[in-house]
Amino acid sequence: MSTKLINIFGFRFRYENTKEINKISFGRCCLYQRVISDKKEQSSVKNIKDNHDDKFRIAVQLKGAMGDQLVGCNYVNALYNKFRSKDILIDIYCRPYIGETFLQEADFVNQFFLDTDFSIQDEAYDLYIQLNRFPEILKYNEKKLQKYSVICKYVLLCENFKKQNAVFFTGRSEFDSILNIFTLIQNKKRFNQADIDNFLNIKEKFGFVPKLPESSVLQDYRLQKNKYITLHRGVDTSHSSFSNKQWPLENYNSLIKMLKSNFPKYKIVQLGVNKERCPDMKGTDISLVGKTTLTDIACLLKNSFLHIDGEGGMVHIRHAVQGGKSVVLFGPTSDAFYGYSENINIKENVCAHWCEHIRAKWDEGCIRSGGEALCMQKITPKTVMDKIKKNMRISDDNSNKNL
Amino acid sequence: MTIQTKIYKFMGIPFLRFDHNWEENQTVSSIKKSPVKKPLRIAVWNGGGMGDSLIDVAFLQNLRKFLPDDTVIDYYAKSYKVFCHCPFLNAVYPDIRQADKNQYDLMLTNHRFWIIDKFDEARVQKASSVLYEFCKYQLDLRNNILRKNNDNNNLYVQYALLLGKNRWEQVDLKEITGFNRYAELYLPLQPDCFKILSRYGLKRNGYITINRGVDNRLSENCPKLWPLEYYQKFVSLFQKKYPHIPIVQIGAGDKYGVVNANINLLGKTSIEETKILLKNALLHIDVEGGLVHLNHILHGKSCVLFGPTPVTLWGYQQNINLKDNVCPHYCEWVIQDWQKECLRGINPAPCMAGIYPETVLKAVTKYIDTTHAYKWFCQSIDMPSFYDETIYFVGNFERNVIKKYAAHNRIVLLKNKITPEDKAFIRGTRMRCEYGDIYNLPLQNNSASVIFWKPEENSAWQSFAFNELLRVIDVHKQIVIDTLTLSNEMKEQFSFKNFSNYLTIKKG
Repeated sequence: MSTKLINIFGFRFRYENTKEINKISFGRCCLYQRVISDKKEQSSVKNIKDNHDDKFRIAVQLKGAMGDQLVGCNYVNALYNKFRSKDILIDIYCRPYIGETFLQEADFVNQFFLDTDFSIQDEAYDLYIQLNRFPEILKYNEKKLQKYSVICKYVLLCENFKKQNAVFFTGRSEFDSILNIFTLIQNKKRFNQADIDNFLNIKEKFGFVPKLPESSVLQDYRLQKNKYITLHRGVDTSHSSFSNKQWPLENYNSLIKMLKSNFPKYKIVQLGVNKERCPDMKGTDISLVGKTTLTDIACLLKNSFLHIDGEGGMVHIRHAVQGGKSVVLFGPTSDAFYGYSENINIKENVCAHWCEHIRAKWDEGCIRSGGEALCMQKITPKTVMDKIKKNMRISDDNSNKNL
Repeated sequence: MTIQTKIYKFMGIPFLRFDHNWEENQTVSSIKKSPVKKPLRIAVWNGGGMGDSLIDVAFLQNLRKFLPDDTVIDYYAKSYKVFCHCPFLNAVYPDIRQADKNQYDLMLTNHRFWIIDKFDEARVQKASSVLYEFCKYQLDLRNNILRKNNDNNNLYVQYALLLGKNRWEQVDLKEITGFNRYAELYLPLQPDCFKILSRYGLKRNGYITINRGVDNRLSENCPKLWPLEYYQKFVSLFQKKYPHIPIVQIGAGDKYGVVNANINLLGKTSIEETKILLKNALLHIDVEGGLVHLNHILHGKSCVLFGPTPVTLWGYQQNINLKDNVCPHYCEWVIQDWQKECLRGINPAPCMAGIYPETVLKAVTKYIDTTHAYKWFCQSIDMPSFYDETIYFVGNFERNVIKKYAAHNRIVLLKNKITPEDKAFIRGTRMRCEYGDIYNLPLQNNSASVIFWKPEENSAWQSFAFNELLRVIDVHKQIVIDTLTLSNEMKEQFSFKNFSNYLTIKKG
């Protein structure tokens, strides 16, 4: 790693060149940044070894948004632990940056690639699995499969399940809501939805803790571990920027005032992908909207005292990295299905049922009001603050932050 | 009256025609055609159970208000026999596959939501703008919410619940026709069937009915069924507590078991007799199913055991609805075979096994111990007077009597057949004609202010009619009975030596 200081007309610029990043900054401001990774690089160039050795190779394609990807990674980890053999190798095909950020040193992953490169035609694997809500066996090498009874059992389980519940594998969004009900009835939630018949015994606490790549974001912004609160208002970039799941911006602004009053020693940090999708909240100490990589986000969430968000990907990230409690504001989606028990899950029972996937573009306008979601509007900043005060304790020694 | 009208009147009832020889003929009966213009013809089909059909038919009764008088509505359903006397349906048949599609302008299938199988837009729009708007909305609903998928009943359940609607309101989510959960269905009773009560020594409100059954195609593993041993236990506990109240088991047959009821009428009653039994029972005990919905329409009270189906969708506020929350969510239509066995693979379904007989007894006891017979006070009077009241007239009153009260009150004529003469009579006035008859008044309990009743001459069932009047009249409000055709048996009840023209009865 090398850091150079460049003096231009009396102004000092810092240039950092590491294995992962090229960055030019002026003071605390990041002017330019390029992320590079040459370690288990997720690129379009596949490095598939010849499949004529004795190893049993499995390819798993993860579908869905950020949260789905992380839940999928946890599933693969459970799969690996179930098979537990040095002869079984699992490659993951996932969305960009997921591998680099969360799977760098994961022992259950052989390699990771872009999900768009997944193809059952390449004959490189003995078992192809596509993981959406449920695992779907796409193709397998029957001869090699016979040697592994556990994998055999797993494949049979998945195929039987698909046979009995074919409608769940149509990929049609109108069945997603029914999948949620199906899962809830089984006394399961999103994190273990894919675990058919509890074959893998997936627990709520993820079976692997991602070892995050290095990030200097805390130092760059002079943030101390557990001494700042993160907030986010946004949804996955695969969805429209307006979403029913978002809490009104003015509510965030009011909440920030309350947070500053109740937690005066804590910095308030806003996260987000860009200003268009995540407009500035008033009163924050630091806005990192558009200034962070996924690694930075994961690092920030890992070390934050508290994270406040709607139901979405960052909540799953914080859970995966074992960052601690989040305050999650639920509305159109089911808290019973998506909520993690360690979190402060807040929902006002305005509607008798969730509206996720009830119609196409369900998240682009309240089904009942046509505009902003009634269920989100009903959650007041005071309610949120009261719940935070009830569940969180300010700690001076940074060791015990949760009640 | 034109010559054509006289011929039609001579040939028979203009609205209702039930083909008794359906099974033999196996053909669609010929249709009367208006010599002047071709009426709008509508076919409605429901492949579901009796509960689904009852709601459909209630909707069709309401829809009639928006249609030209000569509109033909044919209803196709497995439980068609329940509706064979409904005057607002032209014909009822068991199976839509027998229908000739060419003879209909509009064909609807009810899957909870409506599938429009045939839609002559021009003719429907010309006949009724309300019906047209309704059909257009259903098309949009199916394309938008259901994404043209006909197998997505569960999604539609979710959508209805989200909008705060129940099963009744599912048929018209936007209330385009004004149809909602408070709508009434006129289901005429056959007075001759009252004999079944005397045959088994049953008195009105003196017995309870109990049923264990589901759609006949389903097996004992159906998750909606309450365990048979629980029924036995409940019956035993009830008989110990209320030895004077007999339990009558009703149902189509003994496929789902026989409980140790006092009277076993499994497979022994016609649907008309079953209606009478339900109507006059103190309480009906059942799982969520067709007889519960039938009892609701007959204004009876049920104790309903819920499991796989949601109470908010299927439950009636007037009933005793019991549910054990062992499962975090209902499972109705989560998979297509949800009725074959419990989704969790447990038998009996834990949601039903969690409702114990003692719990049911407790709920039933609470109801029975707080019900009481109606008290009433009567007075003989020449001509009662009313002002600014809603007055229901049941029976063949003279027109001049009705007109006299119409000057200062709101008048509703309850008729089991609404004839063109009736319509001509009320035209241009504030009076209304509704379907109804004395044995099953389309009114909620304690909801009417004034009812005039002219008993049918020589009717042996006037006491049942009187009980029905007591049910609907509000406390301290008046029933007015024309004493001219009152039977001697009834007169003995009122203990007057000399009767004036009318008796007024006030409920205490």
